[in-house]
Amino acid sequence: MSLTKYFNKNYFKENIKKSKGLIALLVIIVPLITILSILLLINPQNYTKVLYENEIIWANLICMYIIPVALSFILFGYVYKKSSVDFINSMPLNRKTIFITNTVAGIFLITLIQILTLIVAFLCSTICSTIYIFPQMIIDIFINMWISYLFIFSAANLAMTFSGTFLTQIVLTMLILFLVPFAESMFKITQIRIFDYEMINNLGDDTTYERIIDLQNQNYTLPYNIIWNGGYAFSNISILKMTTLGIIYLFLGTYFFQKRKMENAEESFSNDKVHLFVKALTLFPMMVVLNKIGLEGEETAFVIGLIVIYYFAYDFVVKRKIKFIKSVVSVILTMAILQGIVVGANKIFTEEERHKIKRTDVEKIAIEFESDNYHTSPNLKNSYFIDNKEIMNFVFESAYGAQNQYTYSIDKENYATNTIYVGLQTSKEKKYTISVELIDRDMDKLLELLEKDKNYVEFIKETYKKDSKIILGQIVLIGDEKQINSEIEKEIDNMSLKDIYKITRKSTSIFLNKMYYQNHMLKAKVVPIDMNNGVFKLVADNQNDYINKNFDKMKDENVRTRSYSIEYGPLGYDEEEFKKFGNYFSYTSNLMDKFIDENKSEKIDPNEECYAIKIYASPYIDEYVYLFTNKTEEIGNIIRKERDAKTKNEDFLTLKD
Amino acid sequence: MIKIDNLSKSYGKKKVLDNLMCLIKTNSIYGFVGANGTGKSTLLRIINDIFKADSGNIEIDEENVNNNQELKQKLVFVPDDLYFFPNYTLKDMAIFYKSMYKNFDMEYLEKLATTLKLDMNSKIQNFSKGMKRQCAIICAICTNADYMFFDETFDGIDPVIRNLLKKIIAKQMDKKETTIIMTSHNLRELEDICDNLALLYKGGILFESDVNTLKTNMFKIQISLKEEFDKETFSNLDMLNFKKSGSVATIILKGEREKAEEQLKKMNPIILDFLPVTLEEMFIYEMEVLGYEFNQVF
Repeated sequence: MSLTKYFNKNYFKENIKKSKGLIALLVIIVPLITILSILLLINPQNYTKVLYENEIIWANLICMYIIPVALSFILFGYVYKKSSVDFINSMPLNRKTIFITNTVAGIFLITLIQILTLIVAFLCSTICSTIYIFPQMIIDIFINMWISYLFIFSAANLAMTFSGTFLTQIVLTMLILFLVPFAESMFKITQIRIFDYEMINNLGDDTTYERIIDLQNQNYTLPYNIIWNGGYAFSNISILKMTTLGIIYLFLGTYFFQKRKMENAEESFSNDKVHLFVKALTLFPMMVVLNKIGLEGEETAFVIGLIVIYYFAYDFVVKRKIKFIKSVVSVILTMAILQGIVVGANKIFTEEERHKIKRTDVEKIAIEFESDNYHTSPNLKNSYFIDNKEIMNFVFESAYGAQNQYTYSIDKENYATNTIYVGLQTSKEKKYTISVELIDRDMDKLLELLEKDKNYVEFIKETYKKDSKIILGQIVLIGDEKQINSEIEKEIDNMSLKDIYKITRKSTSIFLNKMYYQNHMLKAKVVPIDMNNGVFKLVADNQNDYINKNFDKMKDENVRTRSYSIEYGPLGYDEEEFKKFGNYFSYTSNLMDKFIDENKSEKIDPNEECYAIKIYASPYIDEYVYLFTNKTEEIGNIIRKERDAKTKNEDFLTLKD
Repeated sequence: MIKIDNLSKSYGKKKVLDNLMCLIKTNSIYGFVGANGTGKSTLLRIINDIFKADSGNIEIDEENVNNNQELKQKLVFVPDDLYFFPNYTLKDMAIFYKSMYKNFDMEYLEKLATTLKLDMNSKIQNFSKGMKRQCAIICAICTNADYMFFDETFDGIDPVIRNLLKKIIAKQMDKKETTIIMTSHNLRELEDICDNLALLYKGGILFESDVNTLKTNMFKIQISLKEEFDKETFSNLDMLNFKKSGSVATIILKGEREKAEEQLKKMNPIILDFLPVTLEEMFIYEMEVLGYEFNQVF
């Protein structure tokens, strides 16, 4: 079998060469914007920040809708011009070779774009010590974007095989990408609405829950998911869907390109029937939306008028001519047919989806605490599912109780303040999540029940043992991560499930985030710095060491870096002390500057009373470092002096010891 | 040899080719003439596998042209509406042709470019319409393809260059046993180069003939006899047309000239002159025989 039948190296080279300027622009734009956006996040201070996915991926996401379609046009655009059709198709290449060669060229260029972006992100992460990007996250972005670009490219190529102009190709590409998921998600709106407003209504077997999210419905292809719910998280199902559809589009594209009527160039479609059909498809989303909104009387007439105008505009833009009578007749007929389809589909889907999740249908549940979902939305991917009936019943019943008896109680004791996310796995292998509010008493009971499940406890403890970045505020603690991680692990090993839950809810301390990347998601476990003396000492010394090295620079950078707030003693909540100094905030204080200068090398004693002076490290409110000190008396004096000065309207910069 | 069998093609409701049959012999220059919109370009596009026919079959050297990459190495097509890659020079285009056609002759192209005074390194988009066509024609010639198709071949080219190109094309045919297929809406453009001519009309070939046979078998005479005479006087000759003005008649005759001359001399004519017949006139008279008027076809 000769490969030249499918791929022509010379045509490939020439195709790239003929549009080299434009191609070069398309290839470098994503890596270039990515590198610029990363460089902009590099701070002049020496602290390290973890970059989140959105800070790296945004340029790639925007370009995802443009670059693959533009590449398809560059490579296949010849089919839209009669002269170029004659020229290219007269060459000793058969159509299959042309299609496959151009497709390979597109895949090559898309791969190049993503590899360059990947390299750029890796290099930035490696070279710049002040930013940290989880390597697995970069790989995930690469895979997610690469597949998405290829998916859109193959859809655009398939659209090209039917189109006579670039405009019709764009319309068809959008229909291929969005029509089916749009229809599906619009019909599902009904389902979400039902659950949104339905309270947990009884304790019987047909108990339903509010705010149910069907996890399996979140797996649209990425290009649609971004538009539908702004989600761009890595999803195996989305990747699988895009890969499968991409391959199907590739085969369909190859087939239809061989059948393509090349005389179609410069016309919208090969014949009026296809034009009419595509135009009707573009009307479908409008009809679905209209049905959802439910217009009446004059509003309906107005919207129908708008649709007729849209029909004219569509003809004018795509075909550059309008047939008045034909358009009016076709729009009315199309609307009538589509209305029938939409009403029918609404009925079928709504009836089917209106089912209630019965308790007897739930086979397993997963429980995650609210604090586990820091920086991420509730997602029970790879959660530990429990089939213990006692736990399941307790969750259902206490959830019902909390919902009906306590949620709106003004009695503090009975106020449901514990949010847990419960994953429901039904006998049909479908997964849903619900959020449940529990009162403290029920939460304690639930933790006791869960404690009995050793595997669950082990699973929860394991999540604290991941190789993590230790983050305070937004800043990574460099240097002592291994020791801090090991101290936390040791402590967690000795804790009960209840203790673990309690530490995440401690309201009187400074918290660390143990951030790690797992199952394509950025996750964080919240840990108080006073979890034990070992952790506290490590964190305090690390912060003091940083200030010791960088305080002069911080003072020079900007005014905000010289604003301070005093945190009450992290190792013990003294209400009196808190009343004295809690929430104290000071700007450009030379007394505080002096104190920090003099005490920045202090090694704190974790057994003594301790203050933490929060020093803002940048104009951003969440970027700060702490100076920890045992010299609480001196701090008290400074605050007293500053308070006196404030009442006398004196400038803090002029204050002396 | 190109064998076209019952070829039909429609654009929507408009039938452009209707069961067209044609046989083009190897190593000849075959011309398709016809008014605009008679399907000349469509026919060439189908032969070159650019467009697909609705029905019918085309065989070149007994191979079907459809999706036949190897066979397309033997074909080169210069369309009516020319296309060059943006910002490409003649040299760039030649390199592209060389990458596509195994037998492309770069040296010959350089030689032809010099002869035609075409700068190899200037961007083609800055050339005049005629120069662009020259570029396309010489690129096609240098592919050394067995079958060369030129649509509206000499459109926009001045007479001097046109003659030069005709010589180049004829030379190519002699050198490589190439078959050249040309189209034009102007019969005069093809008359001095084509071996065979076919007239396309209403989707089919209305009339096809070997130009040499046409030229040797058709002649025009002016004659005057002592006695009164009319059309019937010459009924023993194969007469295509008879016009009498006063005592002098102009007659178009078919057949062997010597034989006709002998018969006419027996009538003791006062005047007997043999006049040259243009190809256009030959077409007019042949079509009249078929019942068409020339103006109706062109």
